[in-house]
Amino acid sequence: MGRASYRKRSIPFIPFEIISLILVRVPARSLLRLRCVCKDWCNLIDSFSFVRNQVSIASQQPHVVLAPNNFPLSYKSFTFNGNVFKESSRFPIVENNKCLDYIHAGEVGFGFTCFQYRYRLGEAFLFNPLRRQVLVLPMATCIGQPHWYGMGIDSTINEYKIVHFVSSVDTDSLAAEIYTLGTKSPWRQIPSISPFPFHSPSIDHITGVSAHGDMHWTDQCKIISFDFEKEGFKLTPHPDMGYNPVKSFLLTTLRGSLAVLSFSKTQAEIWDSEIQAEIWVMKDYEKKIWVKEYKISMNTDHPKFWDYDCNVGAFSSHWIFVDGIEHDHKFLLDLYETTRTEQSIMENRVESTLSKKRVSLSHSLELELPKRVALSELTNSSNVVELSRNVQKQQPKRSSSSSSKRKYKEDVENSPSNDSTRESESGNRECKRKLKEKKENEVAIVQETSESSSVLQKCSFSSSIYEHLRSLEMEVKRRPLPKYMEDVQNDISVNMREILVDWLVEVAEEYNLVSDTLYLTIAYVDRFLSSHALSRNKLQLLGVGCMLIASKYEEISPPHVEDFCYITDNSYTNEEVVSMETEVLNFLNFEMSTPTTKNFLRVFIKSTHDNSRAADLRFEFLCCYLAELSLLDYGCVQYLPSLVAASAIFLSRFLIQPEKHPWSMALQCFSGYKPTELKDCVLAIHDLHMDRRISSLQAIREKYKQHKFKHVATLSSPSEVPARYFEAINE
Amino acid sequence: MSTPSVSVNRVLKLKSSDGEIFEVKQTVAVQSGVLKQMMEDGCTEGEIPLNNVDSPTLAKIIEWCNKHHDNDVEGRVLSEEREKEKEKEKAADMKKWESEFIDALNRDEIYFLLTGSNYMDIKELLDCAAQKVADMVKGKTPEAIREMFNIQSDFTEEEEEAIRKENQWAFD
Repeated sequence: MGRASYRKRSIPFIPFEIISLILVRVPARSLLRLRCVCKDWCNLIDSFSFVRNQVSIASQQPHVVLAPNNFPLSYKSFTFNGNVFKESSRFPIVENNKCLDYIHAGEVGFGFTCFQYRYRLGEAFLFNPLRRQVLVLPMATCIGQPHWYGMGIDSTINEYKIVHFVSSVDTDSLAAEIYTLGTKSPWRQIPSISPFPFHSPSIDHITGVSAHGDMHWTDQCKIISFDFEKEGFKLTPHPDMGYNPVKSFLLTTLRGSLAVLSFSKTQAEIWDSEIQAEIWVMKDYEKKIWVKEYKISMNTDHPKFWDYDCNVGAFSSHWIFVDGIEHDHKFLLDLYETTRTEQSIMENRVESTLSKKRVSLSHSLELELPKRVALSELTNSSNVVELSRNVQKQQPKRSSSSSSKRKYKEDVENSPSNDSTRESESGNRECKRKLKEKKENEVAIVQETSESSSVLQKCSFSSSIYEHLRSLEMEVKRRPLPKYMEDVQNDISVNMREILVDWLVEVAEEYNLVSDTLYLTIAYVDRFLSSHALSRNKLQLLGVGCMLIASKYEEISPPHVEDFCYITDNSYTNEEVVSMETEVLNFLNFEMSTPTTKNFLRVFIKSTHDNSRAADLRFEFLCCYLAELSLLDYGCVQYLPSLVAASAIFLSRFLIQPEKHPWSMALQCFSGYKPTELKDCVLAIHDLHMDRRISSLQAIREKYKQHKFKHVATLSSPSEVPARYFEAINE
Repeated sequence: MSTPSVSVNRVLKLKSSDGEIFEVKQTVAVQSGVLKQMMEDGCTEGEIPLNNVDSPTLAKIIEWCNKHHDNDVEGRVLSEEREKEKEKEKAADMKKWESEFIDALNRDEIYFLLTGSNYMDIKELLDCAAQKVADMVKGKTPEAIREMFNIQSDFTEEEEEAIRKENQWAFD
């Protein structure tokens, strides 16, 4: 195939990650055809993370989807090339067109549209435009007018949630309920908010805007936002728009941020006045900072186009599309023609008046919004544990990490010495290269371990994967010595190891590292300490060195060497950390992959789900919490990762249902562990949970007291695990 | 972020998988995440072996990086107002250059470019090449795609039929 001038080359194998990069750019129609190429592609296209990537790419495309309210109901998708809109696809929504009442439509986020019947309150269906799928929502329990729907992702559990709320004029309160997609459960009411006056001027105006992870609505006076993780409403202050009487106030998203488009008139007379449009963008959602980015003056002879029941949408970073529903006025603003500044004062005129930029679209459109494409099947948001690995990471703000820094110092009295370590450049480069090569070789193992949980039920390999992991963990070279403190070390103590682990947990929290990184780090530390006697002032250096390696192995965006120096309060220099990294890597012989408790935990948790699809998050978090506690205890070093994981499962089941036997024949068959074998480890972890050991070190406990982990660390527990549960089970 | 060792005049020596040496300015090489990281860690002395990239591909990658670097430098020289004026124009020019660059390649060359830019972590090039392949994929039948990527279907006929039914409209 290659050109003549090219030497003969074999066609490269295209890694799956690149395939994924390509496929997210393929238009929906073609993409759905590609689901039948092979199983891997089908799973990829259906996966949650793929949809999220696609949403972020599609929001940059000039793409408008319109839902008209004429019959038969159909959906049109338009592309825009800078001059004209071109209809790219159209499909009917309701094929068997029964006698439908008048329907409202509104985007609820992620490209989904929610349709509701005007005269049949409480009934609604969700429509996924690209899969042409309809999901009928359960009958709502909060009934009233006006009401709104919104949709968002709870990123702590990676589930789509729908919120539906009703505003009561009489009591000035909001009644709201939640429905989690993919579950069979009905709407779940959340506490109502009162007083909370939120009165939309028009019951036709039901559309919210999804931005910054929350959903936002406006009633022309205020903006309310719904947080899908905390399941609560809050007020978002609207921008301070100053003196002009604002005629209308529309919400949209511009370049991924919440934006307000406001119209005001400069003179009191309605007729023949100049309209000022302002576009405000939310620059910092945490601090609620609005910035006025554009101010546009328009001369118009039409009095009504700025009505509050306009629909507005922005796309492709510089187009804003405004549609006045009742007056058939549609126009586009090209923001490139105004000069963008970060300041709040600007006076740029834009020629984009109605006559010039009018877009002719078919009449009787009810809704114009740029649709961000969502391809997910409505029910495919089920994978929970393994998806948490895809949660976006953020570098922490440096100022907030001082507590972690200080703590280690207080705990360990001896400040580390500053003996400089020389850094061999060539050795370092060698490391880098080896590291890269090794990593490629070991990717297979990692994928296996992390993916195994998701496909466990479906594939017949689960037991052989488990067997493989078991055989790996037992290899002598991967095991720490069970008594290295006594046999090898002469300067450091068990207590110092505990302090180190506790501190590393804090560091991992600080830099948002996944717990896999933590397990790997501590596995490296224990193995290194099994063969190298270390002075106490180097112990923290070993900790950060190992964490640096582990995070390069596990993390999508690992912290930098500087970050690790910083977190030690610059007790060590960059060179020292890098040289420790080199030493550990050489010791590990670059074999960084090793099965950890976390790997086994995933496998076990999936196997305990059996037939009940609904993942019990609390149970999973509890398992993770108990398994992490075991890291603290030097006594647990002697146990195999799989045994620790099995014990965590055992104890979690006991804590959740103390009266029921925590172990079953199925678990015993799958894991290969009998209750008697787990007894010592279970009791050790139980003591840790009961705070009978190491009560001064609280990082793990604090971590799992958080809401996002469902407060599992606060779970009370019977003081003893009954001895009968450790007897052999004969079922 | 420390960038102490990056200077305009310093040159990196990149060695392709077939042994050819390419010299690249450090200021150009920072577009590659891997090379940038190496520079930050100060381990770019001598030849840097790129075992997954052959010389024709590496030449293309360097051409891309040089072009994008030139464009950046040009931008910095201009005065602030002119820069604003030129911003749109420049973006359009670059788009044009990118599409010409990528359109001149055949399918296999693009595959090599994909794996190469992925290996060297050059995001813009990777995105551009991925978009090109996505355009090639568009509208093709599953059979053609399997041939294009050398994939064997692991579906049974019934399974495939079921999936086709699920998305019937896409096949209409």
